[in-house]
Amino acid sequence: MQSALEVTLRTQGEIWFASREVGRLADTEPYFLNTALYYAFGLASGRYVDRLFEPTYLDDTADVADKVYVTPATPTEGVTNRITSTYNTSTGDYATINYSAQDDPNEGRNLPSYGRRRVLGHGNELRCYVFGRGIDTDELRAELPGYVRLGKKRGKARVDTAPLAVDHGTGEYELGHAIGAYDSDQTPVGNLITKQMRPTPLIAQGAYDGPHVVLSNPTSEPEKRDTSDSSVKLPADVQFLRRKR
Amino acid sequence: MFDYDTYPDLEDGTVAPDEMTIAPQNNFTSILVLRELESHAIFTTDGQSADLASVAVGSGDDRETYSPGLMFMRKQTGSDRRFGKSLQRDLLDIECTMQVNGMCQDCVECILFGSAASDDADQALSITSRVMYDTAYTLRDATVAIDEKFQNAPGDDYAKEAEATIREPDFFEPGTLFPAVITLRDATPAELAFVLGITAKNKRYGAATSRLGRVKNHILGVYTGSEEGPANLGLTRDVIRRLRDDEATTPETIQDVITESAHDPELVGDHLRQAFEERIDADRGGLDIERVPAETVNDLTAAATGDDLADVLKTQREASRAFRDQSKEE
Repeated sequence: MQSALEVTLRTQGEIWFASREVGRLADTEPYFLNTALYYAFGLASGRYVDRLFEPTYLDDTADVADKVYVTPATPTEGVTNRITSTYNTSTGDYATINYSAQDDPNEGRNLPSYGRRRVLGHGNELRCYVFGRGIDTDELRAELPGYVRLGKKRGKARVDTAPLAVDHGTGEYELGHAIGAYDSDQTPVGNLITKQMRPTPLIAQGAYDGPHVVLSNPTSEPEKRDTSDSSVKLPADVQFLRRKR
Repeated sequence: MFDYDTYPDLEDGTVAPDEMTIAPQNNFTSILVLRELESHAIFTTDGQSADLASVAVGSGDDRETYSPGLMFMRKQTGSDRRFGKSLQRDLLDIECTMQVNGMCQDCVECILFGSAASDDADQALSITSRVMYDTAYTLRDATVAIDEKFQNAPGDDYAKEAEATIREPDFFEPGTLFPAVITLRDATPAELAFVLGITAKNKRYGAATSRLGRVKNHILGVYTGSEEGPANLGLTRDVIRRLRDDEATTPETIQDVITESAHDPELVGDHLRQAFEERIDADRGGLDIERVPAETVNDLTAAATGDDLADVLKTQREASRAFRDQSKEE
């Protein structure tokens, strides 16, 4: 039994994380990697108190990785609403010393007190797909919350889901939606576009050859289903960080 | 101090002090607040202009895009954290400050609101915040809610040099309203009381808070459940629509509501509460969120704003430390 959902994330305020840091400017790319979405959707659980400072994606998703695959989220429209703002931390002390750059005792330490950041504003729409194995659509839908928190300061996004039909295919196909670079054993045969992201790169586009799943609109008759280019095709073996397990 | 025998309504949505776990669970508490400006306030991120957004509201013929002024989430967190720290200094003599990297990571506030790093090299520790804020939006358009004010700092000498002492920052007008939700995850009833106390007592937000930025936080309700509640953006849109549809008010179009000279905070509060509850019922076929009875909220708030807060924090501190130290055993 296989099931799939089309999930739309609508940002309700600013969401930011540092995709890139250039001096005192931090920039947010309009992508949510699945490394974040598993936690945001509550499919994996992190830790409130951390002493290791190492990622634990594999352990945290050990129970769910065979059951549910979440793709990274990409913008549904090319244009996104981004806001650039300046931040300035203030300690709450009545008196603070403003050291000159020459005799700053914290020189050489990374203590960000001010800077600029470009963040995602409200009203951005990003799309991801959730693919379930051995779980039916209603069950899969019930797993996802109505609102999620994303990014460094936990910005809010609304979650809307729509069920999809799952078909199987084999042969050549175009990847229909971005996946993580380590999420499938299949190797792209051409037409490849990747995007360097941390912690995992994205495969944004690629031609593949092999068994795949086709996710399409469920309202049409099975034989009339749109399994052509506009449907979403993913490698049949797709699994979160498959190559790292 | 707050056990589930006395407050059974809190069992869903909070955790018992001895059951705090370092792996997140789905216990959510939403505090619904209407923030009302009682004086002028400055909320900027560049020191000069107010932050604005562009928001579509309404549908069909009566649809507008307006520019609300923003109260960034950080303006709320920063002020509330500083207030929480000063409460702790008063009550428990905890010397913890908002110094970057200088947080003690040992007090109730640090462990609840989080702290990414400290100066103590022996204790490499990062604590995730369990309190989440949301950027808040004004109900009215920036053209009526925000005013530029000319400022000149001339000094009082008879003879002066020509100096650049003139600026024109944006001020939010008194009476401006911000619907806001504060969300706590896996918090104990005592931590909830602490945040309620801060929300009830903290009255200064934004820049130049020793002279400006007086805010009255109307606590409209507390909701608990296994998931997050609606977001400020949707609630603000709903309140605008509801004010338009309200027979008792004069505005008849969205345009009238967003350019109104003032809104009655009490009326807006009622609409905000109803908008929140309507969304709970409507979003995704009903969110799993229940309203906490007003008596419970009043009890918690009374404990947090009265003399009992020291005891509440003292008991919670032991639980918070035990919670933090669970990570050592891994």
